Amino acid sequence: MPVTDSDSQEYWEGAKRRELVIKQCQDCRYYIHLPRPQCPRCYSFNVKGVWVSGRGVVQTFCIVHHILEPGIYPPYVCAIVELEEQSGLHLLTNIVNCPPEQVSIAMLVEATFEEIAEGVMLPQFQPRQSQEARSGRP
Amino acid sequence: MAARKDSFRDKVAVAGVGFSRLDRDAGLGLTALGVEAGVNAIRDAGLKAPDIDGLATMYPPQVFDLIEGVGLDGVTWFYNCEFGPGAMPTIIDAALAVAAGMCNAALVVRTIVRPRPHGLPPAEAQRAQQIVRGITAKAKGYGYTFAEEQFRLSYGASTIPALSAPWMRLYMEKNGVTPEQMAAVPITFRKHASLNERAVMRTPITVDDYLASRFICEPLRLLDCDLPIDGAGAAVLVPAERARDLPHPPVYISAATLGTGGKSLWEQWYDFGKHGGGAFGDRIWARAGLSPQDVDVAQLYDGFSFFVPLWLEALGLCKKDEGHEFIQDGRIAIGGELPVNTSGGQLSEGRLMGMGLFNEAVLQLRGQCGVRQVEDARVAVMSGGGLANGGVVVLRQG
Repeated sequence: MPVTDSDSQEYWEGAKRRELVIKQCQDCRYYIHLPRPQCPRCYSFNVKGVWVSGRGVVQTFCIVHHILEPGIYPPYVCAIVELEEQSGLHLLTNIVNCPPEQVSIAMLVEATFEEIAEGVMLPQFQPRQSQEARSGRP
Repeated sequence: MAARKDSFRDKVAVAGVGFSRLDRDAGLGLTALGVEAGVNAIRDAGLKAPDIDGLATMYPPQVFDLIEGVGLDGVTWFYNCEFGPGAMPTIIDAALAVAAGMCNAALVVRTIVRPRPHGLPPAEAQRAQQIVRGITAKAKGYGYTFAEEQFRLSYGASTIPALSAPWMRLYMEKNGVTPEQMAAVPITFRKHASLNERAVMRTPITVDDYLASRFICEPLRLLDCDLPIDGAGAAVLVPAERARDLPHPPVYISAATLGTGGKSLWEQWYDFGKHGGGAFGDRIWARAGLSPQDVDVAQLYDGFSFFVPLWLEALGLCKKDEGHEFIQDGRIAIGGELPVNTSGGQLSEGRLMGMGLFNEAVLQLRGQCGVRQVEDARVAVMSGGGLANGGVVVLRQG
């Protein structure tokens, strides 16, 4: 269960609304993940969570065959997904709604949201359903 | 005035190395293992406890526990390192302390014990530990996102195999590496381990054994992963000029780097060209006044087998994108073009977080490796960590 803090609050509250929310520096436009209050590029504190499309590309992944966390049963995929908004903007995620053996490097994916406990939504990624796919509101 | 690139070069010598007993169940507690290794290193250096005035350890154990256990009296420098790529921060910082005159003889210790459930199933115990760490981080009021708790755990991705294996897949796919080719690393190192009395796993393995080895995080197999053991390694570092009065041939630290690969977190990292623990490009060789061609033996961090071809590439020991070819056909075996991990490495000697690799580098340069000895070994390179962060030390015979 994710335990949130002031830096990640917007991310987890966005997830509740089925929106992917990533910090962005409002001065230099740099997207920042993991979330933090100060921009690592221009050092501005004018940083806030913004909606992103949820579209991404699988950079690489592995298939876990071992119980590494209680309640998460193998086989499952751990993937690094690059969001389309910025090169190098990586999220660590599972790939859901897809047999592990069908996941591939460079696969197009989109954000989806999994209810892991009452009121707790976890951002996940799945094969992109359509070119117009986007998370939450347009 | 900027420091000269060579201002650290050959200023510090390794005068002693030591190991504790190494075993899957050593029957000694964590602190006691560190003490055993430390005492052996001090003896190997021809010194006694009162001669040691500096101590660095990765926590746990805590540095004061070691000071008490080894019976040190009058330390003028210590370092209790909580985090970093293996033993690299403690080795390098101890060398810096000696070079700066903070102490005359620094003991470096790295201890590890096999994870044990403490009555909980392994996953529960791990989760319990992570929750404790999360709470501790919050209690300290850091005010930063605790990456593991929030952005890894819920995906079942908080362990190093889950975070590393994706990069193994990318390396293999990018370069067309087959599992049979990757097997060369664990097979070669197991062969080396069979020549090493300290090594915990010594039975030779074959390609069939490797392919039959179960997936942990596909494509990572069990035989791709380093061997959890109980044990400790230790070393004594002294100023270069002092080493000449001590029993063994001096081994100098010519250069070191400790760094990150562009991005420092596993999942944020993306550029294979920026791997190398800060040593990418010419950095380490410029500092050492040497070139990759000068290296006679390499001890490269094999937390996972695929780290080895990546380290070979990062350090310029082979051409970029050719690490997977270089590991074939006995090139990295004792007697080959560039012997690697002559003790069996972390994969077969056992996981000592790089301290075993450092000690083996020293023993090779002293000519004390017996049947494992690389002929005319004068320059060694040793590395810890890998991918997003790591460290490198170049050593040479005095």
